[in-house]
Amino acid sequence: MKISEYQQLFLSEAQEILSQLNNLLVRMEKDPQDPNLLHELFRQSHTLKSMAQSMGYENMAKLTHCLEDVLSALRSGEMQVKKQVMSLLFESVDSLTELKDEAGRGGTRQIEISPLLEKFDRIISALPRSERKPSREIQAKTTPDEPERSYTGETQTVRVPLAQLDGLMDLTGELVINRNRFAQIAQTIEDDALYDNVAEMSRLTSQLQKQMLKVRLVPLNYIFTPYPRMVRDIATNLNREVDLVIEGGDIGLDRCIQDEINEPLLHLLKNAVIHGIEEPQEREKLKKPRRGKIKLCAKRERNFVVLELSDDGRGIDTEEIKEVALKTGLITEEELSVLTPKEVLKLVTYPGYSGAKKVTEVAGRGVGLNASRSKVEAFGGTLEIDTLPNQGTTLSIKLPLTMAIAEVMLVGIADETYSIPLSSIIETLRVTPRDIKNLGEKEVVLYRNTVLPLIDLRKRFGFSPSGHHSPHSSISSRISSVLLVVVEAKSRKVGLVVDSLLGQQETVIKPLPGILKKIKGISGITILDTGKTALVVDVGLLL
Amino acid sequence: MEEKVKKPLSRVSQLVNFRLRDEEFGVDISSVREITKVTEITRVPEAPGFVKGITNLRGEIIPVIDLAFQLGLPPQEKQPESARIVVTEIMHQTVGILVDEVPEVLRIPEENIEPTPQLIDSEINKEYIRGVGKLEHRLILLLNLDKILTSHQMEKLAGVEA
Repeated sequence: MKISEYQQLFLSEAQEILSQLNNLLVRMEKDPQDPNLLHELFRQSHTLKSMAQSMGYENMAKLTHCLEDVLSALRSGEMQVKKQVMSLLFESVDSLTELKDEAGRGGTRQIEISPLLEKFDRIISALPRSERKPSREIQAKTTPDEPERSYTGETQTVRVPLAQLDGLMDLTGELVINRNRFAQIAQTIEDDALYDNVAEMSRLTSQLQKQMLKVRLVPLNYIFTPYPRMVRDIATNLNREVDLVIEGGDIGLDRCIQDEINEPLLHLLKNAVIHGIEEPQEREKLKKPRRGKIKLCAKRERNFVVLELSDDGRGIDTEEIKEVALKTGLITEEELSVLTPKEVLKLVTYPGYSGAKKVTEVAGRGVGLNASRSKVEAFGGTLEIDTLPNQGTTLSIKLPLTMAIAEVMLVGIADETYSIPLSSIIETLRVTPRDIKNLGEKEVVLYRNTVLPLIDLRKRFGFSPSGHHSPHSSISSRISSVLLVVVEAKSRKVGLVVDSLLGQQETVIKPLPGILKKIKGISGITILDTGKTALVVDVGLLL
Repeated sequence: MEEKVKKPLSRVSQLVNFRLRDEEFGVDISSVREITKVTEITRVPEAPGFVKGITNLRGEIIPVIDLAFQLGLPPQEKQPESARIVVTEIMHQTVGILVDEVPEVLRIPEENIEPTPQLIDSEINKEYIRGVGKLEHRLILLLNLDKILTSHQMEKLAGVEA
């Protein structure tokens, strides 16, 4: 079944309300006395009910109606916020989400809500009958000011499908390329009027491009909103008491990055609850507040966004890391002895490391810090860990503001242009063939007193080697000097052998079309000022 | 989907006609989005042979398919000046098809289209051809766009993990 545009709108608005409800419930659980929370909960569920009614989703309407009944009973003081009530409220939000998702699939799968409705009935009928107010009345009271509140916020916004934004971005990019061609023509023709107008066009297109990039930024709340409920559920499951504090959710970050970073963040949050925060009794023994605190804080730093995830839990024991790393064969005793404490901490993010003492229902599943780190680094970001025993752990994730634009260095490889993200480049240097030594199969140079392995990009990308040698000829057998771009990824440095350096450019990086997604060593495509495309070297995947 | 050939006599097929090496081909005009000059095709390392590379179509990056390779036609030293990219959609994926020349749009009466290409003596896999259009002395191979890539290749194009 096809979903109409109107349904689409309903679905996205319903999703927003459901996340709000979740968050409000989490807050209410902690602070049952706050009348504003109840009021807001009521308002939101009422909006959802009217929406569901007008769309003809009967089950959703029924369920929200029950929700309203309970909320109004709570508001009037007839009912108290108790564990049983809370879990019923959470359960009904989950059911509503399920109903909404099913509606989104255009599906006809029956979702059974009668057990839930019965539970509501029991709770509501237990109230003293005389004092029960029909919810109609409350409805009438809230309706007049409701439309205004939900449709005009402080900032006026429009929902636009991402694909349309991408289309606009593409066209803007093309306009810039077209402008550059005009600028070249203007230089050869030497006409004042033409020159002035091209200059003006230059200015305008640059502004347009900047605006377009800003449009793509979405507040981080886009992914943050479900977190409090999730943390609450995990904590409840494990008998922990945890507060999640979120700051900076209004900071904008490219939506594509958010989509990608969501899963690693979820994982790190789970980690913080499961491995970070101690059980309440243990915390009391340690003279810490019973409730653990996890803070997720977003900050803007120039063209980056830094996400700081900190907890006040037990911290990471470096001795334990050493033990696990040795046991799993990640590192030898000898190698371990020369590592600084910070480097030891970094071992946690290596593939194969798992510090969980026992696998629980929520954690487990191999993906860990390692997966998170690779993801972050894939965007040219960094992940750092800081920990103090018994005081907690802080993870700092630094991400570029937008994936759409990046500074790249353009290099020539054979007759093609490739680009390398500037964020991964340490420096470029020229060596003579004599500097290149053979170390087994590998070619290396001595670089700042360390051995730097080389990757010949010509060979790597299947071009014929320069000079008149066989395809298997080594770099050092070529004449003249060798140009190296020293890059770093996954804490390893490597020298990329290129033919020429063609300059730097601030450019739009696009994802690869399907077929190329699996090609190792390429992470995207940039469109150069000339309109030509250049593949982006994925340093992380080359290693 | 097999085209039904027995249609009223008055029906006329509009075809985009193109040349590849020594053969003349036609594809249904409604399946062609546009025809562009070959600007730059960026070679992609380790890409399968039927992918010539990628190109920038007004900001949209599309894969370019080497039709000659796919049809088993001989490679050529140098791409002719007349080469064009026929932009089309194969199973909801925008792809460009590299051809040597796009001379014209043809109108062929349906009755001049023969379903089974008995007449072709070339090495081209008969799967790819849905019929042969006869126009005076010319024979135009009607390409079945949905068939020219195998489902495995399509999956690769769509990035579906095998």
